[in-house]
Amino acid sequence: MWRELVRFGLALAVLAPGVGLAAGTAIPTIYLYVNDLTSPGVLLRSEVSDIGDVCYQVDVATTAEIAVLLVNTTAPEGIDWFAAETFARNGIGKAGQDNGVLIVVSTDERLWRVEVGYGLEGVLTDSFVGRVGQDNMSPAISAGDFYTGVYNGTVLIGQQILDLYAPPPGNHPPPDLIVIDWKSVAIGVGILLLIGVITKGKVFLWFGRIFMRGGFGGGRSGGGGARGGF
Amino acid sequence: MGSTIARHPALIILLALFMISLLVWVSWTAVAYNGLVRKDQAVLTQWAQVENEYQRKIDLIPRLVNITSQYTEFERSVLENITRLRTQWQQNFSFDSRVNNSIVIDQQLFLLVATYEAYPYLRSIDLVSNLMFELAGTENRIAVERFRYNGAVGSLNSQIRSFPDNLVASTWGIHERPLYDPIPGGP
Repeated sequence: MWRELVRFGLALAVLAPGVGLAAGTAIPTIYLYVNDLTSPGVLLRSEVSDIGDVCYQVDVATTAEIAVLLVNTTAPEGIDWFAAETFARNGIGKAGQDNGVLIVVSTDERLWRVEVGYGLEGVLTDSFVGRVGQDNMSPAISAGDFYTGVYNGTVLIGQQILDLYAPPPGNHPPPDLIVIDWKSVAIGVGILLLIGVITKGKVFLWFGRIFMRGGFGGGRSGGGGARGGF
Repeated sequence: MGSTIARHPALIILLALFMISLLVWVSWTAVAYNGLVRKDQAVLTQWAQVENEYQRKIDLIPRLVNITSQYTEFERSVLENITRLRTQWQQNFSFDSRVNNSIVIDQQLFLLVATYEAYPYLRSIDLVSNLMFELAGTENRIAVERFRYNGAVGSLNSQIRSFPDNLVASTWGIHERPLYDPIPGGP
């Protein structure tokens, strides 16, 4: 019984921080160029891919990073603060160059915001971005066509970057589309090994139990059958 | 004395404990002081950033007044007030006077923006709408820098008020900094 309690406690210790983080975080962590976090989603997979392609091309050509985020609401922070915090916490743009752009659309509040990194302020002025949003994004989004509005906005912003932004000199490797957080992997493996040592390997048997069948029907035997040697 | 110490090993232990305690106290004081200085400098740097962004808004005012004065929808008295307050900003350098001045400027600019929003046809005038976008952008930058300033001040003040860092702060004359509080009278 004590072993069971210890195992339960270990499981809680491993899972609890994750639950706490998930419950308390309002600012999302984003990894992709296009992040549709609305429920239900407003973009199709193909539409996400189309917009993502634009962002990728801009990234390859100039190292500038455009991120798109769609959410249902930005409450309680409000879209201005939400965009600024999301931008800061996710570090959009290359370190040292600050050449990131974050396009946020809040579907319930019917608001959009474009947050521009320090390094692109000379290229994407407030008036230019405001015009793009007002003339190209708002009309489509107001009509319920989120894809057209966001796509047009991303293309215009991306084109402005391509036309006017001079990437720093030197070799620019293509952006990593899949990044493995080796530190998290190492921590996860370490915790699993520790649990394995504590439970003397039995934790690995538990994994097998996930896939076991539901059990036999509960029938009985009277001694019938056969036996043989070889 | 040497033979006295040799005959009383307890003295050696006491002396060693004293030296270790002294070393720990000096190390902790140095670490606490350096931390406070670093945070204090962070507050000053962040305030400079607030002023930098606010200066950007101040620099926008001549163009704002020049363009909006061509349209009768914008009240002349508001434009005159903004111009006068801009001059006051440039002449006042103390923290309190600049904060007070910025509050009044913001109130006048709010009236300007309210006028812009009340007349939809003004949005079709590129010069005016571009200017309003720039004003909104500047306002947002100021808000972000003010938030970061208050965060830096909160971090510094918390450390100064905590024990035992408050002993180091009072000894070396490191004081709490004021928050950017546009609505005074709070807790």
